Amino acid sequence: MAGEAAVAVGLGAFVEEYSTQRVNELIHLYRRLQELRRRILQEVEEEAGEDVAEIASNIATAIRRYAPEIEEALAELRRLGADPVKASLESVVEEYAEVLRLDIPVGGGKTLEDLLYESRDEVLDKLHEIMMALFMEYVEINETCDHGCPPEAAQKLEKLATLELATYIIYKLFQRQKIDKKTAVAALNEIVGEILSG
Amino acid sequence: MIKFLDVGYLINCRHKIKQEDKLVVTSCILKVIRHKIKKGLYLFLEKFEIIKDFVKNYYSTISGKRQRRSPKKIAGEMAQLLELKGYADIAFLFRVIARYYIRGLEEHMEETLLQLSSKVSPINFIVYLRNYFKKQNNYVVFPDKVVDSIRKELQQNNIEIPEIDDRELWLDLDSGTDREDRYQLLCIEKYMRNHGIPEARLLTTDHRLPDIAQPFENIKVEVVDCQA
Repeated sequence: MAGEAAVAVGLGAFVEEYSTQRVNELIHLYRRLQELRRRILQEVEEEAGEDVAEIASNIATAIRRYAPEIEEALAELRRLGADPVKASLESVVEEYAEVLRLDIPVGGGKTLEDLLYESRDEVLDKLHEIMMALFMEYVEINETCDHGCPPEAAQKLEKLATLELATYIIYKLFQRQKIDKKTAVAALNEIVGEILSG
Repeated sequence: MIKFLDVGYLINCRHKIKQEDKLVVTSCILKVIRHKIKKGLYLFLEKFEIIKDFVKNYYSTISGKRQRRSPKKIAGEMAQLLELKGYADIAFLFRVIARYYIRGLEEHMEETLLQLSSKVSPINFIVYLRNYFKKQNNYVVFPDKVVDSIRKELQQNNIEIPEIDDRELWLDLDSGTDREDRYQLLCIEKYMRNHGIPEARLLTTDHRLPDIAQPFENIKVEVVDCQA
């Protein structure tokens, strides 16, 4: 079930890696999923170019490669009575809501809101657009998936999970100066379009 | 005397529309609103980065200005700001959002943006709106949603909305900045002719309209200031 594996490692990937760093709060199995996610991100990042479609395809391949290990963690979660997809969805909505309240400190006595108004940073602007778009989509899907996700919603979730991972990779490539600002903005813009396209 | 309302009055003076008056809004007015929303929406998406910069500058200049407020309040402030900056078409879109309850948008905002907090940050509001319009091509249906919402509210207030056969009216008009105004006047004139109404009033917020309406002798234009 590559779709469920993608959701398990992808949902909340960007917001967790970028900002909230909730790793210490996560229970053992979620830590294991996060560890797998980091390995996937590292692998894809090492071979990544600047093409979003190619990055997304590499993410899908990497997830397939790690699917047995991810599935093992998911099976254990299910054995404990948890619905991994539902749990991921609820947690990701909360995490994005937390970041989008914009009052989280980002250093130097500033909040994310201060940065958005003052920094004139196009990459940050695009990341903000992506976070808002993902939040909007997750809230909607969370309602649809109240009693199990219908196939359409599950498919959409898989896509969003891949796009979240792609966002993080683009952001990392930019931070490490492997791509320039213009390329990063163009790629992130493409991702917003993809998230909102339905 | 029968009173017609123009687009400006309908949007800016919503709070003044009283049920006791015999008020009429022709279908042409709703058509103009649809046309203007479509144009405003297109420009909003096209000029989004510029508009976002306006928001950043405006809400950063004075300490305390960045306070969170209701989406309606922000939309109203945005309309004023955009008007000042010369973006009248986009300002119209924001004015309508500020004044009317637009079905679809309001519910969606309630379920998402307002879950973050009851008062929102202007930067979040502007990004939310852009995403909402782009989401599954919502911008295609939004002008119709606006018209439906306004129509419903007018109906609830027992305001008559006669359908005017405007096929030749729009085509006959030359282009020009007052084209929409003359179209509204021609629609009113046609309605009056069809119903044997000798004289009527037109309520507007546009100070140029009395001049434009001069050839229409039986339509008395009354300019009302509702901006405050």
